[in-house]
Amino acid sequence: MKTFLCAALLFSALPVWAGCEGLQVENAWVRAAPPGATMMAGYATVKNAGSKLRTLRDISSKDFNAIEIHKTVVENGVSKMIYLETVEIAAGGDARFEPGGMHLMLFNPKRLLKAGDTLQLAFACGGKKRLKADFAVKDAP
Amino acid sequence: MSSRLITVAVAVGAAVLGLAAASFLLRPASVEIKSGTLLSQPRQLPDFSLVADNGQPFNLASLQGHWTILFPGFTACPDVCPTTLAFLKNLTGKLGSEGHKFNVVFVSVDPDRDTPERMASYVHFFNPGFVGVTAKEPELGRFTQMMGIAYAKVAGKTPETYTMDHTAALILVDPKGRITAYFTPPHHMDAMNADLVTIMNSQQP
Repeated sequence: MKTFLCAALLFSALPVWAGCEGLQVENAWVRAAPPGATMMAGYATVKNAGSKLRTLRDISSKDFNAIEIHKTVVENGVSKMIYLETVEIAAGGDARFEPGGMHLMLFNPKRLLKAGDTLQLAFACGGKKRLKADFAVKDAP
Repeated sequence: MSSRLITVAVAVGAAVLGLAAASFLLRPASVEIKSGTLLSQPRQLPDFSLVADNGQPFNLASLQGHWTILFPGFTACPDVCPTTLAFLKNLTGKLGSEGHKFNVVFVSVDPDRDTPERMASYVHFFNPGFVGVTAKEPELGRFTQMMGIAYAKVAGKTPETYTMDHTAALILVDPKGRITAYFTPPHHMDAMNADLVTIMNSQQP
């Protein structure tokens, strides 16, 4: 019993099993922005096909100075952006980054990104490995 | 006794019907819209003094003679502003193909960062006909207050990455420079398209 408890404690305390396994990124795109734009937004659906809860945090890309997860909310008719440190995705669930909702805020693009271009973002999920995904730059919708 | 009651009931019923009919017939011709709020009385704007993205003054006269949709935002806004400008680009295209014209004016609530040049590059990316306007304080505060636009600066992680909270509505101004309607998100293309046509047709000069 004692051994079992120790094992259970170890199991819950060390995130050695945490990672990106089971996560899939779909419909990933970045809205084309005017030349000189300092902020862009990325959208995607991140599905968790695994059996464990996954947590997205720290997103990076060589094409941007920084990336944060933000959520647009409208309160009393006023549009606000809320910063999210992490996003949890339940087993079998998904996280939707979409216009007017949760989005990836992309700070200071390092190159001109035009419709038709592709860029890569890497999501940290708590483990050592990162989940890489290609995002298509698009004008629409 | 019972026949008298019936007589009274019939008389009351007739009076109610008559009043209802009168109020129906006498009410002003009203227009109903589904995607926003139409003011019962359009609100005349006083004159104001903004600067447009070409560096020229933008005032009440700039709004007169045509329909205008004003949209408050700022160019360092990654989600709502480009999404709405893309929506307005599609909406103006759709209405334009049906012969209805209106101007789109992007009101920047971030004059510290949004120079005329920066606004021009931003709004013209969506449509060369769109106009960006702003003003330094206190004129921006005065203008936005009479438009019903609220805004506030919100600190970011670094001094440069602050963001702006702002009213999310689209504001329709008629050719006399009067606020006519507010449209709040989420915006639906077909509903708003139909409502704009309804409003513009109801106020033919």
